[in-house]
Amino acid sequence: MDEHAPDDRTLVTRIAQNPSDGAPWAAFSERWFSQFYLFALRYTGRHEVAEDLAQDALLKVNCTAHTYDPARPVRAWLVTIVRNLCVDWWRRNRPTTPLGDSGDDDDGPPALELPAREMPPHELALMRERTAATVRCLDLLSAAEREVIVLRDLQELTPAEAAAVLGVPVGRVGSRLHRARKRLGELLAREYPTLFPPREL
Amino acid sequence: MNEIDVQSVQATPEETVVRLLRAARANDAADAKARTRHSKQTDRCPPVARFSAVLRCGGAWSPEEAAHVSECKFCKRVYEMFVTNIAAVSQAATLAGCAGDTAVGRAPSAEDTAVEGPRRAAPPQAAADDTVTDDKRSKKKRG
Repeated sequence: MDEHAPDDRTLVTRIAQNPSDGAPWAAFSERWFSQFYLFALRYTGRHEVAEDLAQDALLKVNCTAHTYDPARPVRAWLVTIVRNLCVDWWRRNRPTTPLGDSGDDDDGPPALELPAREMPPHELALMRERTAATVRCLDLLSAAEREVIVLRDLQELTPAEAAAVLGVPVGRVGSRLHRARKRLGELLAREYPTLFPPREL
Repeated sequence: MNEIDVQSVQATPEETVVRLLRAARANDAADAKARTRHSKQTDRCPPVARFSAVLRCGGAWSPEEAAHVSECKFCKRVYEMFVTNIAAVSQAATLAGCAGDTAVGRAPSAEDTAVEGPRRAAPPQAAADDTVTDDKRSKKKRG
């Protein structure tokens, strides 16, 4: 991010003062659409849904910026908005496909592209498969397990920020995260035994 | 060790999972760079700030904007979503005038982010239910 660019708190405050001011809005939406999208993608596992939820989150920021309390962490406030939308979507669209059946691949997350570091091709291919399997297994977690992983491991929120989003004590975030990672490991070992030998997970 | 080396056999299961998630995060970061707006949004689509000016501040579309918004599926959808959001905020009695009530004395509630009609927002602590359940379950296990 440009060091001279206004921070998120400043942008939200300016949007609150004048939601039709194009400049702060452009900076904010360019920065946060992708964040909202990625959160929603990992939460719902569906690209098109994630885009719509991200767009809706932007509109909600525009409409509710005046309710932002500057005493609160701004990232937590913003993530709470998209998270509420995701929870709402999840309640209306609980997956009914059996565990391990990811359904229509066209609706799934986009193909993964990893940076091709100095790595032999076969290792790179294996790494891609394992990472893709990890993302698919995120869909098999419960909503509570998935969201704590999304918040902490993927969105990189601090424990305090994640606690604010989830509305739980900071300590509980840690215990939930530990349980969620453990569960994810178990799912990977069960669903993809050839990629993840038992000794590893 | 490579940051996204997911093959370490010496790592604990949790460390292995964390490495896998880091790799996924690296993918996300690469994906996010190219994604700064909805894929159906075009250069001709007015930005959200313009929708706000028209729908919240009593502004008007330019003839070009009006022609586009009346035809573009994405803009029609944004329009509907915006109207729904405004109604939800009004219902919460927090919106007053163009710039709105700029008081920032409270945090957003689920009501603020609620969507009317068939799409209702989740209660503020949607996952808290799961947490409580989890906690009860762990207590039972411990007990």
